[in-house]
Order: sequence, then structure tokens, then C-alpha cells
Amino acid sequence: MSDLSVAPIGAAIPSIVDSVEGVSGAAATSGVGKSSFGEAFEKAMSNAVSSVRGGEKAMLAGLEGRLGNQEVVNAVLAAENTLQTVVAIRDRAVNAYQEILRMPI
Amino acid sequence: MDPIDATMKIATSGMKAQSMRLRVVSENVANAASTGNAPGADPYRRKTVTFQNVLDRKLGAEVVGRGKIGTDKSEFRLTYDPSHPAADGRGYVKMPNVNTVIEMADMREASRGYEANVTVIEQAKAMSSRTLDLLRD
Repeated sequence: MSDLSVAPIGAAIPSIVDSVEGVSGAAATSGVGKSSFGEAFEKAMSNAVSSVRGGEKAMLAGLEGRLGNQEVVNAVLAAENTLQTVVAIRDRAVNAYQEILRMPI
Repeated sequence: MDPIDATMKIATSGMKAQSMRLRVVSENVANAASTGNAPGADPYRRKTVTFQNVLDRKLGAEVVGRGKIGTDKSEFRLTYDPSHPAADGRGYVKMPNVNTVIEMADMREASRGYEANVTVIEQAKAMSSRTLDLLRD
């Protein structure tokens, strides 16, 4: 039963994942399809993590003087933005999930 | 690509361009009194920087390309200083064609341009975080 009611939210995830991939510039995976809730989140989170890693790498490169100040700030801002997006969407989706779980049977 | 992310990248290219301009200004100012060593030798020649728009295919937008550094072809200033090692037969020394007032104006322009790009980034950041706030309650 819970599987059925969650489906619309699950269906929304692939587009989120795609947009996250666009931000982090990772290789695009063609259509997550009917992945489960957990899988989709795992993917979104790993993309966010790679974006944040990119920000960290840029920060280190900046400290070593290999990268300009502007580039570093740009990369860190992009990472921050990705992370915030993922966290906001996760919170929302988890909220919806909990709402369903709290439904009186 | 998300227009807001693209905006940040474009503004970053603008900031880099303005830093480049400031770099050239600083070269000119630092060398405002750099003369040659041999008699009649040419002094430092003022540098100029020009920018061009470049289409970034990944962004699908025009960014500022790498600045091209050229030289100012105007005449050198002559000052009379026979004791100078670079003085010619008549005692005149060629001074760089750098006008510090012009450099100051260029510097101000670079600073204003940089600030404008920073403001664009601030605005883009504010817009994207305002949008995300819609999800929070």
C-alpha cells in the first residue's frame, strides 16, 4: 500500500536527480526510471557529495594558489547551492513520506 | 543549464576580466618611472587590455574571454636630465607614456566593474535561496 501512495513522489525524484547532475556536471544517467525511494535519494545525495567535493578541491587549489579567488568562490557557491537544493527537497520528500506513515489505518 | 548557475559563472568571468584589468593598471603604475639604461633607449611602454565576448557552449551564454594585452603606441614624454644614464646626446630622457591620472580612472573603472559583478552574484544567490525557501515551512 505504501508503495503505491509513494509512487508520485518517487516519480518526481528522477527530474531532481537530473537537475542535481546538471549542477555538478557529472555524467548524465539516462532516466532513473522506477527506482525506489531510497535508491533515488542515494543517487541525489552522492551527486551532492561529488559537487561538494568539487568545491573542496577548488578550495584546496585556491589555497595552493593554483586557482583564482573567483573560481574558488564560484565552485564553493555551486557546491553550497547543490547541497541546499538536495537538503530542501529531501526534507520535503521525507516529510511527505512521514505524512503517509502517520496515516491512520 | 540553470540560468542562475549560468549567471554565477558569467559574473565570475566578468570578475576575472576586471582583475586582469587591475593587473595591467598596476603594471603601468609600478613602471611609471621605468626608463631605459642605455643612452636614447626606450622606456617602459604603457600596456592596454581589451576584452572580447566568447560564447561558452556549455553555458550557452556569452562570457568575457581572456583579456588581450596590447601596448599604447603614443609618444614618450621627454624630460631634460643630462645626468641620467638614458639621456641622449641633447640631454633628454624618454619617460614612459604612462599617465597616472588615466591609470587611476582605469583602476576605478575596474573596481566598479568588479563590484557590479559581485552584486550580480549576490542577487543570483539571493534569488535561488528565496526559491528554495518556498520548500521550507
